[in-house]
Amino acid sequence: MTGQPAFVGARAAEFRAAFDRTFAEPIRIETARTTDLLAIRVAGDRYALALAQVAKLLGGPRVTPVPGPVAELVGIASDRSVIFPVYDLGRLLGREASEGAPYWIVVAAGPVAMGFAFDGFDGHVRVRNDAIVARPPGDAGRRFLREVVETPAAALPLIDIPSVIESIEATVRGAASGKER
Amino acid sequence: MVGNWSFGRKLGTGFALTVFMTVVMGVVAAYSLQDVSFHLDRAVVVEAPQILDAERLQTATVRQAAAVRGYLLDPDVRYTQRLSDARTNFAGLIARFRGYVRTDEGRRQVENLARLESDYREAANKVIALRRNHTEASPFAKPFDDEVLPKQQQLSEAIEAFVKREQGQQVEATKAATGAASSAIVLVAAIAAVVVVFAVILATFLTRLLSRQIGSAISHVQSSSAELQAASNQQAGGAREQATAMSEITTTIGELLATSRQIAESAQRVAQIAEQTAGAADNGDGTVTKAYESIAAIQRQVELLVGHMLDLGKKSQQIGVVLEIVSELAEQTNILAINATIEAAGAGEIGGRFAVVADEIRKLADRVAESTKEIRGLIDDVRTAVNTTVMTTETGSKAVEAGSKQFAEVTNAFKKIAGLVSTTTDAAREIELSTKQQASAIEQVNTAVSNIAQASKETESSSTQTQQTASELAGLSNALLQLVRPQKAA
Repeated sequence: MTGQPAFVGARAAEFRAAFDRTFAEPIRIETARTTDLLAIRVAGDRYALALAQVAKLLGGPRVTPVPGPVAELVGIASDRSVIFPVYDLGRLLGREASEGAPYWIVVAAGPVAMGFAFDGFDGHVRVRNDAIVARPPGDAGRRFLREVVETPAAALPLIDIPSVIESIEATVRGAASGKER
Repeated sequence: MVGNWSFGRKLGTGFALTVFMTVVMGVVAAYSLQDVSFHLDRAVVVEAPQILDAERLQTATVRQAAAVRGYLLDPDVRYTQRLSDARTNFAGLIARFRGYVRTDEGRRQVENLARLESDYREAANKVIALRRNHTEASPFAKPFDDEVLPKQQQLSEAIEAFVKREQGQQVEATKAATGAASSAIVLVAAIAAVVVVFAVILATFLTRLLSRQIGSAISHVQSSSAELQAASNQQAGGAREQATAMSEITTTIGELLATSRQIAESAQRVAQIAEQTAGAADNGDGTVTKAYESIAAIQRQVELLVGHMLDLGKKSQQIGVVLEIVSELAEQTNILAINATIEAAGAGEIGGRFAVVADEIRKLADRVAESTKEIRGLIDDVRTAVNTTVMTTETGSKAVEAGSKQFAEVTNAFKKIAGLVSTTTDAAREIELSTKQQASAIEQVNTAVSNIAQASKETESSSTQTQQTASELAGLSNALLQLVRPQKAA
């Protein structure tokens, strides 16, 4: 029993020292050689998102269901007075729909605010650029998963958010042109 | 019916019939002899004296005539006296005849004699009176010849006829006696012949019947004697085996006696040990009572420990709640750091320093999250340990409670043991006493068995004697069978 407080105190001291050391050392920006990623879970499988393609990460937002021309549309949500549609990322990837309301939403970076809901968030991952490799040509059938990230834990398929947005916009345009005719 | 009669009854009936016939024959013979005697008595005792008296009548008449004649010749008083005596004698005889005679003819003749004698007496008295008055013979000679002599002659003739009559009656009586004797002889001879024939028939019947039955009985006696001989052989063998068995029983009883004595000694030792056990049981009762009190104290401590453990579990749950808050804060911090990183990236080079801070905050949040996970794991371990400890403690409490109950049962059991040990002591003493009595009884049994063994030997010897007797009985039955059925025996 006497060892546990010492263990906790040591961990706290280690955290404090690391935090203090960060501010004591000179600033080193290595953005040119690394890529920041978000490790997520969709329908039980792990995927990766490029942090550069993400505008915001939301945990537990309120999604209001609304009808729409796209079947993967879950509803609409708001953040800081900005209203944006939310799509089910799992269904967009061709997986089964998530059971219950999704907890995590990423807002895509770009001129149009658009959210994608998924099941779990494993954390932030920073990898070297050479750890991101293109998928083999024979495996190009999965149009939104063009690259693979080699992490120390596992190889994660990298979801290409712009291609997903483009697909949604094409579907919306197709639906709108159908109505005009 | 007769076949079912006993020998004695059959023989007695035969002898009774024979005796009855003999008695009948004797009665008939006695009756015949009495009849013969009656007739002989009549001829000898009745008729013969009457004949004599009749002869005496004749003599008295003659004496009267002689006295009359003598007085006539010599009128002396002496003749008158003789005449008087003769007349008195005659009158006495007449009186006796009146007593004898039973028939009318006899009475008539007797009265005729009395009348003739009276007539003769009157005539004689007249002549005697003449003689008394006259001395010469002429006055009374003629009356004497004319009156006295005829009357004397009539009287004599009447007496003679009376004598003949009496003699004829004697002859008739003699003939009647002879005829009765002849009839009696014939009747007795006939009855004797009947008795003889009946006796012969009865003897033949009894001989055949008794020979058949006695022969059958002798045959039975022979077979029975053979069976008796065989049985005596078996009895002798059995007696020898019994004597041997009794000897073995005597040895066994001796061993049993020794065993009973050992049991008595063991029972005595058991009684002593039971008394010591009773003392130990009392001490054990006290020890168990103290142990029961200690277990009750342990039970109270365990219940207190369970309460502390439950408090610890509650505190762990509270820590878990706090930890959830910390984890939530770490997660929100992480999200904020990521979003700050995104915002810093959008700010270009200006946001570089902010990006560093945000990155460090995100790292710190990651570490806090990891530490939170570790703490949650530790708390889960603590809660699991607490739950296990509580369950184990409750199990221990239940075990202690059960042990307490068992100790209470043990205490009661010790009390029962003490009571039972006391009972055992009494029982061991009773066993000791009973075993001593048993030993005494066994000694008596041993003596009795010895007597039985002696009796068995005597039975063996008597069986041998019985065997010999059976052999002799078989010989006797053969001899009897030869006596009863000589033709079969031959």
